[in-house]
Amino acid sequence: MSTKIYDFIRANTSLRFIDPLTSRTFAISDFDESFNAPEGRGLAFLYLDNSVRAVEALLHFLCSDWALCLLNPKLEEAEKQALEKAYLPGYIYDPVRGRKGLTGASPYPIASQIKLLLSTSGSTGSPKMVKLSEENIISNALSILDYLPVKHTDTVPLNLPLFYSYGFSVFTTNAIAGGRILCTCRDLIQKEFWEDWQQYQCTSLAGVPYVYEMIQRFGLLPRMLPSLRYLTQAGGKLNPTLVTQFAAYSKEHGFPFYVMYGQTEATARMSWLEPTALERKAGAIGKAIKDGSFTIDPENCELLYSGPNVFGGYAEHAGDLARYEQPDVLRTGDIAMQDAEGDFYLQGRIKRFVKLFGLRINLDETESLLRLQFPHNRWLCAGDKDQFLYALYEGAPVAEADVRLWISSRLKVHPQAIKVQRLEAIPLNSNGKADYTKAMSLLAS
Amino acid sequence: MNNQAKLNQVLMQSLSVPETMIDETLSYQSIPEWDSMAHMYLMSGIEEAFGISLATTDMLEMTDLESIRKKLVQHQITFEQEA
Repeated sequence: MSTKIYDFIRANTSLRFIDPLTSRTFAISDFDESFNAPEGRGLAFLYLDNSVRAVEALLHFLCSDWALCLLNPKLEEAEKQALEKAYLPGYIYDPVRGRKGLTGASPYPIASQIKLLLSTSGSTGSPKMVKLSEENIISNALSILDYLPVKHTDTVPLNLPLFYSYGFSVFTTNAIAGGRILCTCRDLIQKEFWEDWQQYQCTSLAGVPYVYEMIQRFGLLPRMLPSLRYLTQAGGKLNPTLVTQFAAYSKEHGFPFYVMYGQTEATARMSWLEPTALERKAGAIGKAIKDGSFTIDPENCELLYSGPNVFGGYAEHAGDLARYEQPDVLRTGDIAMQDAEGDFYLQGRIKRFVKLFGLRINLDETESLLRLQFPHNRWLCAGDKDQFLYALYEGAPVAEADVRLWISSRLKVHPQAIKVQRLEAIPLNSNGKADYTKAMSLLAS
Repeated sequence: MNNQAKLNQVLMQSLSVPETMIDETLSYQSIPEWDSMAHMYLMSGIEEAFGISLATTDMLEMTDLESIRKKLVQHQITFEQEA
């Protein structure tokens, strides 16, 4: 039997869970008797808030052989039903609907590596999930612990959702190497959150950019002092003014501020910036975490990541759980550069455009339009030297002249700049995404 | 425009809800629209509309209509009793 993240958590004898609603504190062994995940293996849907009860359910399933899908309990009923229809979970934990138990759904094949499914967009109810393994989770937590100063004397509030990769990583890292975890559903706007902070003397906070906007806007920093030991930021680019401001606070009050970068496809974390470099390097995402590495694609400057935390592909329904296949590299979709000291900077997302007659045309949007209008074919759009827009398709031949006129009127560009051409098959890369470079080279030959 | 109407305007804009949804039962997180992000817009909207500056403590306590009016009254903004 391979090692589980649960074994690392269980080994942390300093670990305590605080329930601020009752002021009770629990050791992990206090949960042994109260709740049990059923024997066997299947897919469990856990709709988790950040309460002690939710954490308890999560721990039991991390201990079990079940594969888990962590979901937002605030999804609409219809969204929940659609997800359950797509994945046919064998177990559902959802206190909102009063559900806690086996569903009776027939088991189906799930690749042995899959332990966790996380959505890349927690609030939309999209069925697109990232497949993660025990190794993904463990390696990422250990890489994070290599640089974050998590201590057994810490108290961390769960202020980010557990079903969100960043929130989940705060949970795993602190459960492995931290002390007390404040299981709270309160947020920074509620004065009870700050009463809890005071009472339990919290030592760190994790925030996406808008959390830092709130802290600045509402002047919340003084409420974190003096127990605050460090801050972390991820989940998007923090605006440079705020970076500068927090760099100044961090210097004044002597707490490090960690700017980090990641994606759910990398379990959570890919890089971090040395806090002492923050002032000099506002906007940088730093260097790859331990055991990970970055390269930049020479063709399009896309940032590529490889490491043991790279996911095993996407899933959209139950059938996709039969496989877990890690790509050689994770294509981040971000354009990056590296400075002389080896730190990386993001310069934007890869958005594909062609410029025709001075008009910027978004190729991905054009593709979507074509898919809607001509749903019987697969479409792919590419630009050629800002002279032509290629609409390539797969499937039964279409009236190409009509398609050309339709695009021309829709985008308001001259039909001469549009070429419609059929391909035997649209080439795919190892992620299963359309390979535009290959498609264009097929045209040339 | 009287101050209640002014406040309703700010609520409608910052929470992106129709006027019909604004009543005395409304409070922070009582509807999905009034989340922490909307609370930021709401506080800025109130400061702008009434020309005042709110303290952190105020902003954390202004979590329903009654407490918002109470804080505004402390800033010499009056609300007429309904006839």
